[in-house]
Amino acid sequence: MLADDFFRLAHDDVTGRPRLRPKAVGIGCAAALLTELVNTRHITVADNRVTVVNKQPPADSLAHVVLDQLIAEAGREHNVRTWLAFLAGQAPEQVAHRLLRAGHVRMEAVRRLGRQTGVLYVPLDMNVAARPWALLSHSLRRHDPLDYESLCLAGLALATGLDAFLLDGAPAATFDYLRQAVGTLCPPMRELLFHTHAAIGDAVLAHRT
Amino acid sequence: MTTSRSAESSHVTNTLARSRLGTAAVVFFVMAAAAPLTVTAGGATSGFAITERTGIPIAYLAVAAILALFAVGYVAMSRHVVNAGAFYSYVAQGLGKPAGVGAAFIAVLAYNAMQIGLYGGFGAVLAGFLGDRFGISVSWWACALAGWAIVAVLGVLRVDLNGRVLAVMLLAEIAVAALFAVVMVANPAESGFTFSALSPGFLFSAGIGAALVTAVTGFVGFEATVVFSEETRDPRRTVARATFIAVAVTGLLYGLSAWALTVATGPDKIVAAAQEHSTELIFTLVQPHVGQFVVDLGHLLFVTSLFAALLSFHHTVGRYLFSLGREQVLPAVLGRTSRRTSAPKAGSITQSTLALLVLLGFAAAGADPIVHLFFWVTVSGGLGVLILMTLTSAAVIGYFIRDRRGENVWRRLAAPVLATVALGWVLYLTIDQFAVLLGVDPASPLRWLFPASFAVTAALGLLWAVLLRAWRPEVYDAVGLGANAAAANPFGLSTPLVTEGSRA
Repeated sequence: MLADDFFRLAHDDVTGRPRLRPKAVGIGCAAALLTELVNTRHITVADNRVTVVNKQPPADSLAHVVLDQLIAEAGREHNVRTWLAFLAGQAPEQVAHRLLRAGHVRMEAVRRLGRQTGVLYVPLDMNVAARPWALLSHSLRRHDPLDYESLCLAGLALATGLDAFLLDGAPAATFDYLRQAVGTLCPPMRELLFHTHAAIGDAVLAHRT
Repeated sequence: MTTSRSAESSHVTNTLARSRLGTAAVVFFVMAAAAPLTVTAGGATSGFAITERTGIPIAYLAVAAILALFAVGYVAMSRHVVNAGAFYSYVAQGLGKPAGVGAAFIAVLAYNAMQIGLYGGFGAVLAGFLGDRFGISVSWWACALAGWAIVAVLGVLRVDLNGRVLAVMLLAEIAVAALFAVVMVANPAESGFTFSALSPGFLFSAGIGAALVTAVTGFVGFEATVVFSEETRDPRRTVARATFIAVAVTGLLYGLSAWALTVATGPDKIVAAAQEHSTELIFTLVQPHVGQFVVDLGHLLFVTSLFAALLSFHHTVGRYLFSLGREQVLPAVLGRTSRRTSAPKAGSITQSTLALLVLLGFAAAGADPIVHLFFWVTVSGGLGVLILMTLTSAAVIGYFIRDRRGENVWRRLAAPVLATVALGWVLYLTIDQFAVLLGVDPASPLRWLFPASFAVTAALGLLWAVLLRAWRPEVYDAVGLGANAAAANPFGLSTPLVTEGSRA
């Protein structure tokens, strides 16, 4: 699943610590969940709106939950940024729990000064966890053509700022290749990623503690 | 468009509203940046000493009134523009893109000046405090450099002072400033209790421009309320209310505190006393009545307040550079952020480097930290912000003339026109009397140097806008549009997207 791969990409394959700031992980996971629904043709993104085009229940239970939320408020015409902000609050945990149910991660308490302050989802098999990063990084560095799923993942990485990690030390031509490759995504995906990138950029400006 | 009212029962809207800011939170954020004790103990006393004008107290109150007027149109426009945190996007959308780029350049210079000038105050006050209380003799620039190092590190790591810490510090500062004011008023000089420094007659006396811009400098930071407009529970009201509360509270505090100084020394002796004691004046005056502990506490809060202001202005400059880098008006590298912390890394490092060079220059030249660095440089920054506010106020008129966007005539026309006239008048007086402000001879070239630097910067900005239009039209088209600018986004489509604003 795409959101699983994004979650793995956004977290350390050994320790499970995030590679991005929390806000960007949230918005990125939200965008990844919407991408899954775009790819299964349940929703489409156009004119700054998320529109449900197929109300059939998706096979995956988490995708089902997200789709139900989209259907419930379809009449309110929330824009893409509102949906991203809303889903961002719950998306990382939802995706982590999907990985947990599938037996890919285990929960570990984060303690600070003797008190539990959070939870880490530590991968059980670092080879599985590092796989999305390794494959995508390798293909991009070789300028290989990407399949559709990888292209979506590359787009999410670029939108959330993970490209610097993904292509660490690569020449500028590789970054250009990434930009050019994601430019070939379908318009709904590009619009979704456009708003993802903008939302993360705006979060920098309105930073507060 | 869904309004917050019609969406009251929406699960999405309710969930998002839970994490949003209320009025009090926004007020705390911006007032902590304005650092009240920095102004009452540092700005006002230096103002008396250097400009030699007694009208400083009434100037604070007058400026508060003008800024409240300015805020009416400013807050109204903030509801309709994206990238609301930056003055230049208002100017770009109200007065045209060349003016916007000019304003952006002025803003970078002005906020840098504010920030760097504060190092002078921080260094001198900390060095004085260490010398007096602990007998440790350090030069002001060593203290300033220590402060610089901490700000530089915190800036790159994006550590803001914790909101709760800031709130406690702010309340303590206000309490101490108010206590000092009460003590000073309760113990007037031999000449007796007098309101003379609050006489409106001062507003028409010679040299009042210097007092007015000193006052404007004290308020810089209040304009940041709109940065949070997308994060508030009710953008239509919260930001407006927070802005007016911030202006009113700071205005009253500054005005009454400066007036209390004149009561305690006697209005005729305030200038001489301020020249003798500089930033120590307020502490010297209250010391016999409140005891050493409160004075030490006041000193300590003075230092922390200067530090909070330093950090806050550092972030402001970083934010401006990030915005400009993201729109590619300045090199795109400034739009990079740190992956883990979201700090605008390149912008932060640029600001720190500039501050270091200026600090070393002032230290090498043996300049006076309070007069030459703290006062001269921050009021020059204040002049820059005054120019920006005047331009922004005019931009509000221009913006709403083309489309009313459902705002009433007071908000879109009457208040902005009055504010533009008032700000323009203050600006004229300031530039006309800049020699008084600096305390130099009217024939001194210095009086033209500071205002001219803004004129040159603005001209460079206009020139850069013309070059951008010729060389990179896609960047030029996006000036002031923030995140919704296609050039700023790798996923920008060749056809324009519907971007009616993210708070639709």
